[in-house]
Parts: sequence; structure tokens; C-alpha cells
Amino acid sequence: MALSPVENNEVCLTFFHSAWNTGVVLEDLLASDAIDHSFVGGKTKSEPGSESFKQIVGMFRHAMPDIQITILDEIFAADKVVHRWSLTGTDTGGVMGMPASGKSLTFTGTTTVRMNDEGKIAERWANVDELGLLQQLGVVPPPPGA
Amino acid sequence: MNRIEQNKITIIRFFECFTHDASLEFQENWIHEDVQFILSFAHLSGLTQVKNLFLKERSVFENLNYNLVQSNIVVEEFSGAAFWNMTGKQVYSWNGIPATFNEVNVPGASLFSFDDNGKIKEVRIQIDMFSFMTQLNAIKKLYDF
Repeated sequence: MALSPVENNEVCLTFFHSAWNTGVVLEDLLASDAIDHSFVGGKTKSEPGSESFKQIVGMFRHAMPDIQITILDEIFAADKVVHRWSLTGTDTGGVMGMPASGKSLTFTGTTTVRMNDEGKIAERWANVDELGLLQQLGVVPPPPGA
Repeated sequence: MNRIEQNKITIIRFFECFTHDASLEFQENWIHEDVQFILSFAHLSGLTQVKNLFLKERSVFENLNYNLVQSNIVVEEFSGAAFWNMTGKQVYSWNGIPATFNEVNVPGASLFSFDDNGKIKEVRIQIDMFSFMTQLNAIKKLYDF
């Protein structure tokens, strides 16, 4: 049975808090045919199942073991949930294969989720300020005057 | 028409302002005079600055379009979100980046806040800047990753 929009949001909050703050991806909150859409390195990737999301979370938690998500905005209606968020952590393990910088990093993004009729996460679309992250790491120079 | 339906129409209308032939008249009827427009690289304040942004983006990017899918617009009574793909050809300088004549196709999201009268009072833009800058030949990587 489909959940209410408020309940859908609660499922998403539980899922993302658990994944980012503890590293536990709660697979029972995901639909069996879930699809994950992400924009990484300027490319769009759409992959089935939880592996893609687990990989992203695992990579960042390895790089920043103290990483924490803060939900800045929550918008939900019908079967959709939208979160604007920030992630903050200390780069002690090296992001994206780069040497550890020891810096405290913060980056922002939005995530949209489509819930299915069983109250499970069926699709996730993420949009992340990768450029902001890379500028903090010194991989890409900041814009002039910044 | 209920408040939520009206908000959805306002969001669609907002994105239509970026297309070259859209009217920019009477915007004060649905955008708050003190609207805040927040991007990762800029913070615009007030309707005049937002109107200027529409005009500037239209002139820099030929055939500028924000491709919206209705099902990707999520609306509540006082807030809303929309997911889009921006397309266009950069024919003039943009924020110091000389015209590349490149076609760009960039995904992004906008989050809206509405006041009691249904006017847009805040827009936050999350655009895939890395992809955008790469397509404008503006990324200078210090090393590969």
C-alpha cells in the first residue's frame, strides 16, 4: 500500500541518515527494481540496484569517516520526495583517489526520490556540486576573485 | 484552481522566462519584488536583478531552453522543486568565459519558496557546474583524477 507523502519523506530521511551518517544502506527500504541516477565527473549514470549508491557512500565514508548529512530543505508531494542537503566531513582518506588533504570539506546537492506503491525507494536522482568539492580540494582553481 | 496547481504553473512560467521570445512583463504579479535568487556562484537580490539575469542568459545562450518534465515538478503549498536539463549554444561571453559556440546540456534542480500570495520569494539553483564548465572549456584541472 502506498504511503502518505509525509511517510515517504520519513522513509527517505531514515535511508539517507543511515547511509551517510553510519554507512549502513538499508536495503529493505529499497524496491527490488530500484534505479539510481547520478551525475559523476560530468557524466550521467543510471544503474539498477543498490550497488551504485553503496559505492558512492562507501567512497566518501572511506575518504571522510566523520561525514554527516544535514537536510536543508524537504519538499514532498504524491510519490516524490526532494531533499536539499549538505555533507560535511574531514578528508583523512583521500576523495576520488586523491591524496588525503586533511581539510574539512562541505558540499551540497539535491536528491529526488520516487517512491513505489509499497512505500519503497524506486528511483533516486542526485545532483551534486562536484565543482565546489573539487575547488575545496585544490584540483580545480577557484574562479577569479573568489 | 488550488494553491498547489497555481504554484506549479508559476514554476513553469518562471522557466519560460529564459526562452528568447517570452514576455517579461507583469512579473511582479508572480515574483516577489525582493526575490532572492541563489546559485553556488552568485546571489541575486530583487526582481530587477532577476529580470536582468533572464535577459543576459537569453543573449549568451542561443535557443536557451530549460527542459522540464511535468512529473519532475514537486509542489507543496509554500515550496516547490523542479528538475530540468538546460540546453543552448554559448554565443557570447559568460562570466568571463569567451564565447565557445559550444552546445551545452546541463542537468540541474531549482527549489522555490512562495509567499502568502503565491509569489516566488526565493529560488535556489543546484546546477551541475562541473559538467557546465567542462562543456564551456573552462575547467583547468591541476591533475587528472
